[in-house]
Amino acid sequence: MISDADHELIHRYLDQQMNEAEKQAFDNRLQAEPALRQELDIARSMLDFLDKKEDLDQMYRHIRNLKPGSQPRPRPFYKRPQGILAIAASVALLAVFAFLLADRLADPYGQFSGHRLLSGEQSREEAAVKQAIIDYNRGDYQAALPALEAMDTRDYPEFELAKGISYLELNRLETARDVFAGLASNQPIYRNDAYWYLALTSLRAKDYDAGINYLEQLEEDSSYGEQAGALRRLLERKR
Amino acid sequence: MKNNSSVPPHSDHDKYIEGIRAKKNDIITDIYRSYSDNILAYVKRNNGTDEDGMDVFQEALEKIVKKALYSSFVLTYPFHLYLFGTCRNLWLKTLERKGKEENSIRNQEFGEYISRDDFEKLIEDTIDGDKWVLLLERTFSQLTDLCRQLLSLFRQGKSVSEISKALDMKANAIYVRKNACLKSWREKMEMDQDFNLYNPY
Repeated sequence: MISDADHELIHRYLDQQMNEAEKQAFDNRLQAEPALRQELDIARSMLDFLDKKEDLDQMYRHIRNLKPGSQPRPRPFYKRPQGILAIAASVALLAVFAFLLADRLADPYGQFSGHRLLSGEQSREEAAVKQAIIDYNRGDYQAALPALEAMDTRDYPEFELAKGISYLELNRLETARDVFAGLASNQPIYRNDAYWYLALTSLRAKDYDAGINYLEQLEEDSSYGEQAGALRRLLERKR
Repeated sequence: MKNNSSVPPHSDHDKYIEGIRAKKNDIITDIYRSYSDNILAYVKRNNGTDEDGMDVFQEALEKIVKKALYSSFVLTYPFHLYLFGTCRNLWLKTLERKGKEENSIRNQEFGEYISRDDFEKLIEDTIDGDKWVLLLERTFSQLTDLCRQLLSLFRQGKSVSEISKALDMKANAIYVRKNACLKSWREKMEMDQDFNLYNPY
């Protein structure tokens, strides 16, 4: 171990607190004293460890937050008091101004409703589920739905999402909304998918304020940010 | 077995390893979304439960993040094989502790990579962790709460007045205390039985 004075010098050197003359003198000592150089390397690795520890802790928190059930269930927007009021207000406003907006309410849903294909692990599924995957992927939601409804989808959120999308496509909007809200609460890694589809459900229900609310939560997301921004701007023009 | 020390980086290196080094949380979310179901299914096929699967996946991801941040390794394999290999070995260790057997070690999943010495070594190094980093971690955790907070705040670039306010300390005592904490940490390292063994300097 080195002296207290050298210990302090090393940290002043690493913190760049030396003037030019002190630094030159210290550099000369480093050339001549291997033990001092070794101590400098150790001190540098301690500080490097601390810098990365901050990043590591932050990333660990993110990983742990993604674990299903790791966060309290957020109350869906449409169940919050301000959400209910906003929805009620939107519905009332829409009723009053529907005739004025008729030409602007052409449903833009089709522009934003390209769904990811459903894939399965072939060894796992029964024949009915395999057929449901085929039906779903070719857009025959009516045919796909019975098998998706019969499945215990709690462990397979991709199938739960597909079930919600099928309800949405079949215009069973309340049921679709319940499925997506459940997904958002219970499956953190599908939360953004769920918010996107809650926004599309609101769009189909012409509940633009609720849709905007969901979309605002997605604009930082790398997968949905761009299309979420585009749809939000469209909805803001429509309301 | 082949040794491929001069293999070029795999195309996944920039996206995943450099993405982690750049602290992109989106990359972690992407890994979670893309692979957690497969790992859960693998663990469930091999005497595990959903919870076991999620634990293995989380632990493997944390170890990979730590490896990426604390070492300068270059990934020369597809990322999903690195992740899957880490999960597989973690789960094998768990089964070994529980005295159970794995039903199906699916080595065919690893294709040509299973025959490379460095593939298994990277996975084992990832699981074991860098010994010097572990020593730094262990000795840092032995410091007082105040020292740990003080040093962390300094490295976050907080000013003396901010630190003074956060820790309720007099400003002129901060530098003295900081040096004392660093010295105490260094002494704990020196006293650690692994210090001479793993000191790389």
